[in-house]
Amino acid sequence: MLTVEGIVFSYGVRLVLDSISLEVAEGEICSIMGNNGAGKSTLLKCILGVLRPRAGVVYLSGDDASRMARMELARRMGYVAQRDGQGARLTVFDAVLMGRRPHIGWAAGARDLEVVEEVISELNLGHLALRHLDELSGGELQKVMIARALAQEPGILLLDEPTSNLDLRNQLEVMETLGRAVEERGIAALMAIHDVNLALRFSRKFILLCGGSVFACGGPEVIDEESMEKVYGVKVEVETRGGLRMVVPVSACCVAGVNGERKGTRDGERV
Amino acid sequence: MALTESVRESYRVYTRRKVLFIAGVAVATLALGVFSMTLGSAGVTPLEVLKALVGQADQRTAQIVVHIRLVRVLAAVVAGIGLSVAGCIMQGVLLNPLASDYTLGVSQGAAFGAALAIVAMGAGSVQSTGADAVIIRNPYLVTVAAFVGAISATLAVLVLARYKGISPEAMILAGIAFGSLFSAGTVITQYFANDVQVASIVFWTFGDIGRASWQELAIMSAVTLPVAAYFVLNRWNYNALESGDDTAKSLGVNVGRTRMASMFLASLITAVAVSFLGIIAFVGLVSPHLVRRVIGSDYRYLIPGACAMGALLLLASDTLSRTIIAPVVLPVGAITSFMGAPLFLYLLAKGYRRA
Repeated sequence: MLTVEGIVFSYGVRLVLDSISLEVAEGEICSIMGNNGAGKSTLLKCILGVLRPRAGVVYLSGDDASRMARMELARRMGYVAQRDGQGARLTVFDAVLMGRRPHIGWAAGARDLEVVEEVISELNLGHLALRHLDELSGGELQKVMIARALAQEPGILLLDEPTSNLDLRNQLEVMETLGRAVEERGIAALMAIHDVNLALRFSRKFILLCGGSVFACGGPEVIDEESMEKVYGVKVEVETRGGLRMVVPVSACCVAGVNGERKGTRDGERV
Repeated sequence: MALTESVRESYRVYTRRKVLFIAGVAVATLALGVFSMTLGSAGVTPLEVLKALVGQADQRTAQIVVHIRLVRVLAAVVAGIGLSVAGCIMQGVLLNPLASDYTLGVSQGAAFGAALAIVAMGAGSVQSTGADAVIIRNPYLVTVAAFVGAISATLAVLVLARYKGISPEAMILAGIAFGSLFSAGTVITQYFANDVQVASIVFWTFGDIGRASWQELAIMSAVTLPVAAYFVLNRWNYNALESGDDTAKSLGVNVGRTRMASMFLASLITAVAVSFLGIIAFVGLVSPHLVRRVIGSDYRYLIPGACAMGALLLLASDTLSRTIIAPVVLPVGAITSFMGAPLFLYLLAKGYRRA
């Protein structure tokens, strides 16, 4: 289980995250939503320990992450970056094997190869195992990166927009793959995502970031006309179809949302 | 490949091919080494070379083979390993396929440091005769000075690398600027030498393996081999860095320390090679790329592969430089430039995607 308490982060004098707290349980995907620059990626990087927050604590299954050694942290928490691994002349197998790095002493052992093989077949990447990353499509590459994070055997998984730049079919495939892996392995997954409907379909918990703090947090019920207008600055209609909520955008509001002034800020530049 | 069993098996076959390639290059280097020792004005057969190496030949042959030619071959091998592995690591930690000791100006910095030590700090002397224009009396001081020169170029590169947006070409342009600056410094330094001769100015401009003696070979090996071992130890970290800093950190890599330490040690290797042999351009660029082409950029295999390939390339270049218009010995740096410059242009033309 992932517990985050009171994360505060600023780039210089500009406050990006103002006391963010959240909780993700095992086997659950939690979506972080908000406009560009709302601090989604920054929050993930603070939890990951890549950025150092000014205040706040991250607990991994109750243990304080700031007291863990680098490798210990890497064994317990995986990360899938927004754009990743392109251009490296590595095979899929090698890229997934990289996920074993926190577990490997001197050389990759039989157990490491076994884990890699299992993950590869679980994600249906077997036919690509010896292909180079620079020969893969966007969807395949994204699945390989998820496979690498799963090979890490983490209890917690952080994903930064895993479906951006993917076509419709690949968006669904990647999310289905992720959903299955999270459920079967009992991973607590925290995911920054732009596509509201995709989030509604595949996650059970939602955190709406706005103006550096949590605007709303909870189940699908927090996604409604009012919250969408406040957070995204967009008028929407929310419908229910087949038991699932769906958001249909109508128009951009004349007055941008609360966090309109944050557009194009650091978080956006750093992706 | 539909069966899960075959995935691991075909991966094993795939990695075995890489090992075979590296072994092949190593064996070729060994054979070329023996062959290279047979070449020269005093005709020696391969059999005599082998006999001399195990102490079974007559004194004259032993003298030539062991004391003249063996040291040269070994110096080419060690310098080749050093320059190549340094280039390989620089390309990796800077995420820049055009990086190498020469293209970043590190070699030129080392040459300037060495020149300054010899001329201004009295660590040696500059003579007027062509071939042995420079006599090094204090190899340690020269190496240290070369290292200071190399590290100043490296620090400049690392400062540039901090600006995340800097493109690979911009970094190389900066490297060329540093390189020119240091080269100009080297030339001017030598004009202040007691015996000013044009020949001596060429000393560091185009490196020559023949300058190494046993002592210098020993110092080069003592630096190069442990550093290469350190690089091998960090191979997983270099692999992780390929996926970007954040991902590498999430895999438990201390990104900042790995980058700094690796650049520092790569500069150190470059500095010892340059201070004794002069600038040997493009080996550090060409051989890692050749190996990447064949076996990919998995550093577990790339590092040993680049070591073997660097040794082979420099030895081949040196053999060529001794024989192409014998008895005149060309500086090996000129030969490697002939080989490396076209590849550099090719990489630029191809759009320097990391291959």
